[in-house]
Amino acid sequence: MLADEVSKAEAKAHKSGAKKTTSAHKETAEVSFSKMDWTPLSKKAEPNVAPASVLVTEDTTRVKVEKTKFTKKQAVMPAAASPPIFDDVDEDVDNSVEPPAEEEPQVFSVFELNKQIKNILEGRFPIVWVKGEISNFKAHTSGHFYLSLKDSKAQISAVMFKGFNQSMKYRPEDGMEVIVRGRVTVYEPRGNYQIFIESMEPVGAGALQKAFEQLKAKLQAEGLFAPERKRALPTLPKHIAIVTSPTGAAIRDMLNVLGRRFRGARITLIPARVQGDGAAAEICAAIALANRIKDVDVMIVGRGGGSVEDMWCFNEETVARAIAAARVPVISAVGHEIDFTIADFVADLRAPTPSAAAELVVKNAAELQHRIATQLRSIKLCMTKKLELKKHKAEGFAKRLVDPQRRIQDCMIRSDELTQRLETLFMRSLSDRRMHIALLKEKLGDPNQRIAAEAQTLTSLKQRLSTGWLTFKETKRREVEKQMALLDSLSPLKVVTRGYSVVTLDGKVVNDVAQVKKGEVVCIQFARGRTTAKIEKIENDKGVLDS
Amino acid sequence: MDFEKKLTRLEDIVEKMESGDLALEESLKLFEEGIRLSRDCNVQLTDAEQKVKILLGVGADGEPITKDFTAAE
Repeated sequence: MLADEVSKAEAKAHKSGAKKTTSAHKETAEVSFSKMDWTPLSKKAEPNVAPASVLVTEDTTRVKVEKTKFTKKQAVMPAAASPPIFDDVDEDVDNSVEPPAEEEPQVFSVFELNKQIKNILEGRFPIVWVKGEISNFKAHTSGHFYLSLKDSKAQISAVMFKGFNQSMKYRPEDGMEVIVRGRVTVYEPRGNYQIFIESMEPVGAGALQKAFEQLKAKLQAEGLFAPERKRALPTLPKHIAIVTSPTGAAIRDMLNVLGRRFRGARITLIPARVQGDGAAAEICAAIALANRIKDVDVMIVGRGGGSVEDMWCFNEETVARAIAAARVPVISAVGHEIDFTIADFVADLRAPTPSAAAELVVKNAAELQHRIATQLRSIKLCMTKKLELKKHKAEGFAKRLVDPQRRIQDCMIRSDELTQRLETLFMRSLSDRRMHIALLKEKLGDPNQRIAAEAQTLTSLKQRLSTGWLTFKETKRREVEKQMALLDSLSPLKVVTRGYSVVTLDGKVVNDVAQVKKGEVVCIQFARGRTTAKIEKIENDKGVLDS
Repeated sequence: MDFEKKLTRLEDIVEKMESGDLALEESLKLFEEGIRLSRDCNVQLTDAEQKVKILLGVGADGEPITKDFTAAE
């Protein structure tokens, strides 16, 4: 194929591709799929996902679109302005080509013939649906796909330009059975014809299914789903980032659960569209933002249930890679229960629904609550037990406290007993003493005998005393008599009787004249009677001293 | 004291009380503390004021720029 033809075809492809995108947009919203088998339900075929068994759709909307397109194409290509019909080109028909007629057979130049063929073919097959198996598939560096479509009996060349194949969710490969929609075109310089494929749909499974499986296989091969890549969720999340639509049911469900189960975490919603064109890019951007928030420690990425196409962004490679590269553990929460998306496989934890994701992110917190409740029960039980024990002990002590009345009785008994013992003891002691006395008595012997003996001794002593006394008295009497006689002989009175007197002055015997003075009165004792005398004259042996 | 420390302390207390050889006064003290801790923990888990924000951007310091968010019913 020549370069100019390629670029011409490409230009056409771009033009109608652009139109196609517009119509695809309109129709995407109407297409819905069963979640179970991915078989298209809608009769309105989205351009990329055609019903496998329908070659030419009866859908009026689409037919109208095709007609419009065809008209516009004719306008763009003036050469094809009047579709060649065999009847209309009678004058140009060569006899050598057509059965002999009245006129001379028309001789075409090769160029003209090819041009006629091109007009007829392209006019006759503006849009065809062809079912076949891909062979000789080649993706050119330019971005265009070159391939052949074949079945058991024939084959046809086909080309799919970049403008058309860029929006494909999967990659064609040899042996794949497909239904293509396209136009038959003739390449005049070579006299070749081929199909310009505008859309290609795998037979059996939908294109989305195919794309899903291919991406899944690819990422699996890269190890992105490996269990060892899965990170554990934080025990108690501090800051939960939620990537979803701020207007969907998903965020409401999640906040409900989080509000009920665990209120200890910050929650930041990072808004992103979760369906339609550009959703994947927004989700990736939101995950990137979540990565940048420093204290975010877990992330939930998801949306509520919907059609396969609604959820398609979660099957995009970019989203899968963003989840795999997230700084913190990611919980995927897409759709309802049975839908699995690529995001689910890549995420650290897959939750079947957004509510379940919220439950999972605070599961540990709920477990902690349980743990705390258990601890609380243990403490209470311990305390109760302890108190019971103490109470029991106290009761035991109380029981052991004796009634004072009884105590008194006990004392009385004890006292009696002691008294008894004391009495016994005393009695014994008494008898001991008696015995001792008896013993001593025995030792002492009969006192009367002793008295008699002593009396005898006394009598004898008395007698001796009396005798002795008489003798002593006689002796003394004689001695006294002798002395009395002697005394009598010496008595001054005896002298006085013989005529001598005793002169005394003041009771003192005067035996010296010096003792008296003239005029003094002295007493004179005679043998019988006495008198007083006044001193008149004093003279010593030598003469008169005074007169 | 943060949540984890509270929880650890609570578990300590339970263990101590279960060991059983505490004086009554001490076990009463521990009991009171344990009750208080478990209540605090529960409050932290369920009754804290939950702040839900919607992200407007992230500052250079990693702090999110947000405003309050309430999900439409």
